[in-house]
Amino acid sequence: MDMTTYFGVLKDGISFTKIKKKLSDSGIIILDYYPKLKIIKFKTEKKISGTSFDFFVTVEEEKNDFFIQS
Amino acid sequence: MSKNRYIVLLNDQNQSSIQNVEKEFSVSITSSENLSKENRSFDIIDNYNAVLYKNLGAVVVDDVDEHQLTRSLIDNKSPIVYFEKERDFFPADEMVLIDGLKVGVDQLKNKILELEDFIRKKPIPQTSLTELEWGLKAIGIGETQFSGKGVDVCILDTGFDVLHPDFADREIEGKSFIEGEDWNKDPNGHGTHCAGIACGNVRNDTGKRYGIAKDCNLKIGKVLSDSGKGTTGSIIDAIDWAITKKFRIISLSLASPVKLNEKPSLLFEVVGNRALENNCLIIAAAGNDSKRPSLPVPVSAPANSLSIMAVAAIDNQMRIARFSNAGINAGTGGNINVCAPGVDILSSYSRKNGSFGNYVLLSGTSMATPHVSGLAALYMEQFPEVSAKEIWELLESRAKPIEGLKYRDIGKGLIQAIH
Repeated sequence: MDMTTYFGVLKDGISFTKIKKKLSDSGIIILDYYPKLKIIKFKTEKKISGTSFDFFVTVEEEKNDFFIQS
Repeated sequence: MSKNRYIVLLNDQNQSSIQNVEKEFSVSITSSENLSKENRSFDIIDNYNAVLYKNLGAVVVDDVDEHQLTRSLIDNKSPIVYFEKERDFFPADEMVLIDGLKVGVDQLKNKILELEDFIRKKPIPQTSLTELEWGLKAIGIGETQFSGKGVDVCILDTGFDVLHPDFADREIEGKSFIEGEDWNKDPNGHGTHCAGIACGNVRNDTGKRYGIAKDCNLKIGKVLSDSGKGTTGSIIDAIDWAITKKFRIISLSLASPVKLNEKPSLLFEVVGNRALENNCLIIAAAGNDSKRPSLPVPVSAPANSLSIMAVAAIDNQMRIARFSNAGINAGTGGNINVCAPGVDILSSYSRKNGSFGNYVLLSGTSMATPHVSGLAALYMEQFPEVSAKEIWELLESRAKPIEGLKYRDIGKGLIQAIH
């Protein structure tokens, strides 16, 4: 099955280091963490929604349809 | 030098009390009974003497020591029981006049403010600007003394042709977020064009100015491939890089179309807000999907996020560009904030690919966006203590409406330089 990339926005007060293990234990591969944005980029075979984890404000699937506007 | 004059009340007016006062204060007291046309009270008082008004039991005395008067009040032997400094009295009608003048000044101030606001908000007529560099004229760049000096402006696009002759002496920092493609080359040309509008200077062939913030610090993030396409990942990566580097402005001449009534991405809403918290303003193209006048299309992502400034495009006749997206998803999010020139815009282009040598005319909300980014840099230079959020507010409050165009299409109006 293909892996899908997601972006999860951490809720205020949630520490990345604390949930890192939780995500790994769920079979999720963490690709990047953006501390200034408090966003985690990860990939998984599972279908993830905004309610899959209670420590995310939102989870959005990566889009690849951003284009120049001229 | 002004002198203080006092009204002094006595508890009796017998000879010894009068002499007592004369001796204590070194004055000569004349009774008011002796006043005449030739012997006026003010002359007597001005000559360091005093006048006793017998019927009132009061002496008017000039230039005496107030502390000495105060001491007399508690001295049982002194006939002085009270004193006060002479006051100025105006006739009641003069005070009314002064109050009236104050009201008049306040009203005038309000009228001036109203007039200033009216002139500022007066719609721009739909006249035609014919010169190639019409965009700069439309936003009033010709009269500004600012050039974006010291402000970090980050263009996230297809890269940049660092060998373009207009940028030969510029120090440019960049990073690629597209695997296998360099930030400092731009086979597409789009990124070089957008960077030229926001941060370019003058044409090396005609000497005419086409860029806005010519002295800003140009930063390039390659987030779109050479074919002009990108992903959420490349954009988020680059925004995080720009915020970490403390860049003040991020210019996004890119968009992903959204459907009618589609809610904005919460991800980009958070990204925009966190950028603002870090004193960084993200400005994005509204998108080019409309086919006006029959089919306006909602503002694209990420410009439809409330925390990201959305820019529409107008042409050189002050009409909305036929392709420019509109704030028709306002119920769920996605207003236009301002508009800027976006049709037939001349700017730098990847070398030898341009129809004007190193330059080309392009159209799109992609071209409107760097106009706002460049102007934001001028504002930031002009108001160095002002936050990114306040710069956004300033850009909106200084924008001018255009006659006949709707808020839905151009937001607060055409951005304007502050002189």
